[in-house]
Amino acid sequence: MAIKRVGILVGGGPAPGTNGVISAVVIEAIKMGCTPVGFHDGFEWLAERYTDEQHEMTIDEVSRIHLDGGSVLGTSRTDITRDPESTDNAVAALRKLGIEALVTVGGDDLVRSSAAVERAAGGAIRVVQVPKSIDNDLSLPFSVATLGFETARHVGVQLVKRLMEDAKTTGRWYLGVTMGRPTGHLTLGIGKAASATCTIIPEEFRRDRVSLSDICDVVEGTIVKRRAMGRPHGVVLLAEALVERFDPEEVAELQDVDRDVQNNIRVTEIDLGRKVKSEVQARLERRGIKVTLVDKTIGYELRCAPPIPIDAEYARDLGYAAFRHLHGGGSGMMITIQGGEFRGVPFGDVLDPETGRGLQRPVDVDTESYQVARDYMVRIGRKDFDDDAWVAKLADSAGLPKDEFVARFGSHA
Amino acid sequence: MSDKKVLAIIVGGGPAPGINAVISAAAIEAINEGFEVLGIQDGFKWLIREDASHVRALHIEDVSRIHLQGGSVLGTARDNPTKSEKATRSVVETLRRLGVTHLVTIGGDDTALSSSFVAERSGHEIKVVHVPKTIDNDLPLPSHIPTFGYQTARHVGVELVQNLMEDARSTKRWFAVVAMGRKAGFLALGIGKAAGATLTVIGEEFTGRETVAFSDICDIIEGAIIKRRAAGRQFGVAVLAEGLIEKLDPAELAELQDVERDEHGHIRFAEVDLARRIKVEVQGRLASRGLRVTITNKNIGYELRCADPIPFDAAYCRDLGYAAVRFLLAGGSDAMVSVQGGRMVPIAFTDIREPGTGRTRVRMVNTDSEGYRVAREYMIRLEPEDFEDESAVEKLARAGNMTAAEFRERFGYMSGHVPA
Repeated sequence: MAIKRVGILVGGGPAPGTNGVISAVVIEAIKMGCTPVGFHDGFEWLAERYTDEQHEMTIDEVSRIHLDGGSVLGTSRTDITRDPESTDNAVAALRKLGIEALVTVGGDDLVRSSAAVERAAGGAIRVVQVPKSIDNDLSLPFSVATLGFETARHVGVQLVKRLMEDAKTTGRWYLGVTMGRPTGHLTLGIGKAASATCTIIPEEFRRDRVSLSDICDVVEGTIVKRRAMGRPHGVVLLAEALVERFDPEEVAELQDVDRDVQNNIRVTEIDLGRKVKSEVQARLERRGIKVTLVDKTIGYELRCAPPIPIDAEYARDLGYAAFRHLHGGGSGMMITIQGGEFRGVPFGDVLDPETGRGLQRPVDVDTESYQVARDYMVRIGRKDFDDDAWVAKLADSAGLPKDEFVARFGSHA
Repeated sequence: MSDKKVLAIIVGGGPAPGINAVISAAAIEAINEGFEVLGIQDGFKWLIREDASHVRALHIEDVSRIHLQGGSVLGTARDNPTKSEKATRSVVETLRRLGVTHLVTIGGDDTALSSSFVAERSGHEIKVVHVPKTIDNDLPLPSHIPTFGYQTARHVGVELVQNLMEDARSTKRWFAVVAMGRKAGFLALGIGKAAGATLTVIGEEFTGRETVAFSDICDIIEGAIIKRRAAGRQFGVAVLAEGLIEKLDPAELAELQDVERDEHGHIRFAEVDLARRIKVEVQGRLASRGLRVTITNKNIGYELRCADPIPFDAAYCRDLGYAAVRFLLAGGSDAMVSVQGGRMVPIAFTDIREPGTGRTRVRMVNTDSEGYRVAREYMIRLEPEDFEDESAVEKLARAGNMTAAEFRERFGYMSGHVPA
C-alpha cells in the first residue's frame, strides 16, 4: 500500500548529516508521488496537539542542503512518553494531518518516542528511525556507526591536533573533556586518530564507580612519564561520561547538578576538566614540580559542523532506505546499513525492556581496535616497573623517593 | 642464525593518504617488540640495483609525529622487481645483506605481487606482510571495507567538486570532471554521490558490454545538460570515472591520444584527456544546434593523493600498521592485512590472485547494490520515464533545440537501457 503523506522530524542534540537525511527523504518521497511534511522542533508541538508547526516540503528547499550542518527542521528533546497525554496528543495531531508514515531522526532518547507513536497508533502510522548521534552510542551492531559520529570525530581531531602543536610550542598540557554521554566512543575516536598522549574513557575501568582521584592518578602518571622521556608537554582527553561513574555524592560536591528534560544529569555542567586540572597541578606542585595544565571542553562546536563526505553519503543512504522501508510497508525499525546492505533493527532490540529507555552501546575494550588505541598511549604501565634504572628516573621525574613512587603508581600497573 | 629481528618497511605505487600513519604504527610497535626497523627509500628502486645505501634506521622520534601527514617519508616508486628473475633475486639478496628478517610492504596490487615474489624467492626465509593501499578502493576486500586512503581522497575530492558546483551555479556553466580510480569507478562515484553532483558516469554501468562508444558517453552528458535546461537550470557538474577510458573501443582509444603505459603495463589513464574530448564533442553538438553552453573540463586525482589523512584514515592506518607487525610476530607471512569490524583479518596472497593470470583481482563497483541505487536515484540524467509522456519529450526536445522526432532518434535508446 503506497503512502500519500510522510512526516519527518528531528529529535535530540544536533548531529552532522541531519539535513542530508531530510533531503534524501523529501526527494525520494516526491519522486514516488508522496507528500513529505516537515515537523518543526521534534515532538515539541505535536506533544501539545498543535497542528500548525509543520509544512509541506519541496525539492527546491532541500536540493542543496545535504552538505550543510544543523537541521532545517530544528530539533528538540521533547519526550512524548513523559505522560500518556503527550503520546495521545502526538498521535492525534499526526492523524489529523493525514500522516500515514513517519521518519524520525535521532538517538537513544528519541527511539522511545518513535516506538510510542508506532504502538499508540495501532498500525495507522508506520514509523522508522534513522540513528543519528555524534556519540555513536546506540545499541546497534559493532560496526554500525551512528550518523554524525565520523564528522564530529573529524572536527574534534582538527582541534586536538592544534592543541598538540600548541602544547609542544608552549610547553604545557591540555586536558580536553569531550562530549559523548554516556560512552567513550567520541573521546576515543578523537584521541586515537589524533594520537593524543593519553585518552581516558569510563569503559576502561571495568567497574561501576570511578573516583576523581582514579582519573587524576592516570593523568599524573602520564605527565610524570612524559617528563622522564624529556617531553614536558602533551594532551590528555577525558570522556565527559566519566562523571557518570562518580559517586553521586562526589558529583554533588563537584558542582550544582543540572538535569535535562529526560532526567539525565547534565554532565556538561560538571567541570571535570577544571577539577582534574586543579587536583593534578596541586599534587605536582606540592612536590615542587611546576606544570601548566589548561582545561578545555570539546563538544558543542562539533555538533553543527557540515557533514564530511562519509556522513553526507551515509545520510543519503539512510534517508533513502528509511523512506523505501516505509513505502514497502515496513515499520517499527531503526534503519541501519550493515556490510553495505540496508537492514531494519526492531525498536524492541534497542530499548531496555525494564526502563523502556534506549539501550546504549559502550566501547568494547576487549577489541583489537581498543588495544591499538591503548598501545600507542603514554601511560604508566606494568612494563615501566621491569627496569630499576627506569623506575628511578620516573621517580625522579615525579619528585618522589623510589619506594614512594612504586607505592603510588605500582598498584595501577 | 642470530635471533636479531630486523624489519624493513617499503612503500610502492602511487601515494595515498595514510602511508605515514602505517609506517609510524608499524615502526613503533616493532621497536617496542625489540625489532630493529629499517626504512627503505623509494620502493624497490635501489634494491633492484643491489644498492643498499638508500636505507635508514627508523627510531620512534622519526615517526612519532608523522601519522597525520600526507605523502610518504620513505618516498615511493613503481620499479617492478617481478619483471625479471634477476631483479627479484637482487632484491632478496640486498635485503639479506641488510639482515632483514621481516618485511612490511605498503602499496597496491603491484606491490603486493612484488611482496609475494620476495617471500617466495627468499625460500620464505623473509617473512612478508602487505598493507594494501590505494585511493582507488579496488582491492578484493569485503564490499563495505574501504582501502586506506580512499576515504581521504574522496573527502578532498568532494571539497573540490563542491566548489565546482558553486562555481557552475554562479557562472552558469557545466564542469566535466574526470576522477582517477583506474578501472574501478569507486572514487568518481564516492565523490559524485557525497557531493551531490548532477550526475556521475562510471564504467561499471556498462557491465556486460565489451566496449563503450565515446559517443554513448557524450549522449549521457548531453542528455543531462538538456534535461537540466528543461528544468530551468543552465548549469551542473558531471563526474566521470577515468575507468571509462578502458571501456572504450581500442581503435577509438588510439584516436583519442597517444596512449602511454607504465612499468606494469597499465594504460596511463591520466594521459588520455577524456574530459577535454567530452567538452569539445558535447559543446560542438550543442553549438551545431545553436545552443551556447560552456563546458569546462577538469581532471581530479593527483591533488588528492598526498592530502593529509582525515581522522578516519589516520585511525584505520594505525590499526593496519599495528596489525601488520602483530601478524609477523605471530609467525605469519605471505598475506595482506585487513581490519574488518574492529578485528584484524589476514588475507593470504593466494586468495587475492586471479587463478589464470596471477594478477591481483580487482574489485569493481557493484551496480546492483543498494548503495549504487541510491547514488543513481538522486542523479539527473535521461531516464526511461522521460520518454513515457509525449509532452515531456517535446519539452526536452525544445530545451535541446531539436524536434521530438530528432530527440527520440538520438536519445530514445536510453529508454530501454536501465539498471535494475
